[in-house]
Amino acid sequence: MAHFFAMEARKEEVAKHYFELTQAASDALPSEVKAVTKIQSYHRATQIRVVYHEVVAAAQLIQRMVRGCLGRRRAQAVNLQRNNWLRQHFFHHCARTIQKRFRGYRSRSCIHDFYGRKLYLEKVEKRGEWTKDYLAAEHKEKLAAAKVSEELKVREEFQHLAGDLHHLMSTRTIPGVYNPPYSDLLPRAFEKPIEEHLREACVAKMPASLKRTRHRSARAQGSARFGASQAEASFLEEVRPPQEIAEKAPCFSRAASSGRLRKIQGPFRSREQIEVANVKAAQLYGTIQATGPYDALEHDQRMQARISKLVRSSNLDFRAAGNKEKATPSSVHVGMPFNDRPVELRGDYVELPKIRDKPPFFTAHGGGKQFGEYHEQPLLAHGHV
Amino acid sequence: MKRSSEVLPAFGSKSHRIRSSGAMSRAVLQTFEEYQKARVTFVQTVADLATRPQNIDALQNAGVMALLRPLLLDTVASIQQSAALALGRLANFSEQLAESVVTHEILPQLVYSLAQQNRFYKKAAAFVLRAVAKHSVGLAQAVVDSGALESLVVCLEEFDPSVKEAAAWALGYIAKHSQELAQSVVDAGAVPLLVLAFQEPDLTLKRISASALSDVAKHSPELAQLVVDAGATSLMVKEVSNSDAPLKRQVCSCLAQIAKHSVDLAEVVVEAEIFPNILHCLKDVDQVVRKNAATCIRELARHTPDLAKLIVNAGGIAAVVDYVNEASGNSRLPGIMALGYVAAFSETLALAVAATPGRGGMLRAQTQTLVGREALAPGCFKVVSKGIPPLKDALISEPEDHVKAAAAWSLGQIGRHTPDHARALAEADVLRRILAVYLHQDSSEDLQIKAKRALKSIVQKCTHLPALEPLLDSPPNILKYVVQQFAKVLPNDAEARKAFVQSGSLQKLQEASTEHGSKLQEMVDSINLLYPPEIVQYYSPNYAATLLKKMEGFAPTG
Repeated sequence: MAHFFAMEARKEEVAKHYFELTQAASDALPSEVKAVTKIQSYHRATQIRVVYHEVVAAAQLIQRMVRGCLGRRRAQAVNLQRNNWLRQHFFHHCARTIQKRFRGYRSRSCIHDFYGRKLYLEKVEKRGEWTKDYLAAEHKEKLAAAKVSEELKVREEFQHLAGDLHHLMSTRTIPGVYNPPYSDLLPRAFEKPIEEHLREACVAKMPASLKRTRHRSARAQGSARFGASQAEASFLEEVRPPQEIAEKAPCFSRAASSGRLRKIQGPFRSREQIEVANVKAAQLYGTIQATGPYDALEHDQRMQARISKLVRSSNLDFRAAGNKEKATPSSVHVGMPFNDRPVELRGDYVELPKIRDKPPFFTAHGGGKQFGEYHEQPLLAHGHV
Repeated sequence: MKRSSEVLPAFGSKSHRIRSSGAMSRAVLQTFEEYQKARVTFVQTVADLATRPQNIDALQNAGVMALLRPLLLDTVASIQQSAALALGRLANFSEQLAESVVTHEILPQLVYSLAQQNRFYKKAAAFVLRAVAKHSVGLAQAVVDSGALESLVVCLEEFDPSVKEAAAWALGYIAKHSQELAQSVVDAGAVPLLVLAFQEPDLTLKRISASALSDVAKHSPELAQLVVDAGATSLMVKEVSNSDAPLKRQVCSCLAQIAKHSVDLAEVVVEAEIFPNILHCLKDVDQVVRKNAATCIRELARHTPDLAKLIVNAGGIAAVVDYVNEASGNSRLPGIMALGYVAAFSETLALAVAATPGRGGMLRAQTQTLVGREALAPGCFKVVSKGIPPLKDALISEPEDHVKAAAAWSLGQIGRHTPDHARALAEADVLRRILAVYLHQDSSEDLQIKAKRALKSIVQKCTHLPALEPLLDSPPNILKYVVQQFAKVLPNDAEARKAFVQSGSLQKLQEASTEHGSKLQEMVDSINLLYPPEIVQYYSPNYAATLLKKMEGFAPTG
């Protein structure tokens, strides 16, 4: 019972407790309701969330699967496209290259060839250089030729002028204009004194009308030998004497009298031979009369005549009186007959009595000379015959 | 009249009578002889006096024409000839005297006697006709009206070369004045005889007949065709290599006169194988021969590209360039024009004329363009004819405006083809020179027009901007083309834009006076848009003033 009284005492406690609890419960009711609601909501939410998540996961899975599928398809398509594009790009590139090459070829062959033009311009350049060089060389030659011809022309004109100025040449006693006696320096032209030019230009020339025509040398033929003398025959046979005779045409004449056309008979001596002969003659045959002046005799005669005129008193010559002169006795040889044929000395013979058709004999040296005459060399200034 | 026997009865012998009649006729004859001697002396003295100019007035005042006229019909041949010679010398002296010869009606007498007299008279008469005809068209027409042409043509058939020469000379002087006179010479049948005379061995006759044919051919294509039809061309071309300079002058001149009219005639001359002999004449010793040869080449080159190419292939351009280098004054003109004509036809020919040496100029640039700046193959550099320096020299140093104008024109023909051609000219500093010539106050109108056209054609092709920068100082009519080129090139080239600013060209452009709303202003604005506005403002001419104004109006805070 104690327990009852204890409990009775505490009966209010129960009610209180009950009421407290109830109060607490009612106090806690909103929160509990709230909590319950929350729990319920959370639970529902959880449930829904689970479902939701499941659905979402399923949806995602589906979407993933679908996207993957679609993506792979797209990728496949893109890959295909890319491969096509690459292929196309390659083909386009090939086509472009082919077209480029073909266009280049067509342009070069039909429209414009760059390398061809380059080659052409190279050729033009070479040709131009060659032309320029050639023309320059030709121009130089022409200038040189023009200079030479002008110089020749000047010289010819000078020569022609000098030929007209013979009157200005110096003589032995009177010096000419271009030969001043008081100066050593003579006026010069063309590296020579003008005096020399004048002398060279003053050459006496035979007028053309007076010159003899020259014969053409006829060939020696068989018929030409008929009637030819031995001398002519020897010339025809080209046999010549060993002495040096100046080359002259052989003397032919078909006409009896050909007048001026006829050659003067030869043989002639050369200039050196004439010079030697002149010097020898001057040395060997010089006489007192030859060395003296030309008119010495005449001069003397005149002088004597003058003197005699001065000293004579009469015209008549003195004649001694007395007998006449006796006639001179005639000579022993008067009655002798005159010998027509002169005595022929051995030295006069050129050769022995003539044998028919014998070629003439010529000596190495001519005969009939004095010993001193054979040595001619020292007689000449140039020492050569 | 009493006989001598009646007059002198004391001397009745027949021989005495004959002697005395002889004495009388001798006295009579002596009078005539003295008169004849006087006439001979008079006419010879007048002929001698007429050689000196100081005597002419006195002779004219003394009425020499009226006195000489009857002597033309004198019975003595030498008096006729001397009278004709004197008349010729008088007429040769001046136009007035020649007119007085015509007014004294001397020409019909001369023409009448020309047909009948001996060769000396014919020579003298032809001399008179030539001396009268040379002065003017009217006098030449008077000679033609007097019927001289037929007689002169008959003289061309004479055996004596000097008579032919005198007749050919007279015909040439008649024909040179006008086309109508030349046509009348042709109608008289002179051309075939002149061509025959040209074939004579006598040099003076050849020269004169060539000159006469040239005077006939120069007027019109028909006359030139007649000369060609007579077979003159091949004969003339053969004489181009003759050693006689005066003959070569006339031959080259005649061929030029023939070739200038038409393509066909030029082709006829070329087919006669004028090349390469005509090139030798470009280096002849005689200056006039060189000039006439250059004229002939010019007349051949101007017609068609084929003919121009023929000249280039024969190495003619190098020879012509050499000629332009060496010649001076008027002589240079045909060479300059020949280069211009050749360059005008195509790029290749312009390259052949103009590419500069050593730097490989145009061909290198072209190679880069085509192969995309690959390494150049060795041997790309070309030295072709070096035509630009002599043309530039002619433009600068020649005193005559027409030679400068021709040089400017030729340079324009070279540079107008491609940017590379224009660049070659720009690198040779030609543009500045052409501009200077254009702006010079003493330049003639023709020179200014040609310089402007040349500048325009070159600038419109030029993409080398450093060469265009000096042209920013030019007047607006040139400036617009220059600015146009800048406006084309600058948008695509950053380096060029930078250089444009650094060189001061942008500043110059801002300073250039332009009309508002004009095309030039639009182009300047388009260039300005390529730069930040601050830079454009910085270089604008009034920028300093603007800044100062701003500074004046600025009120500092604080």
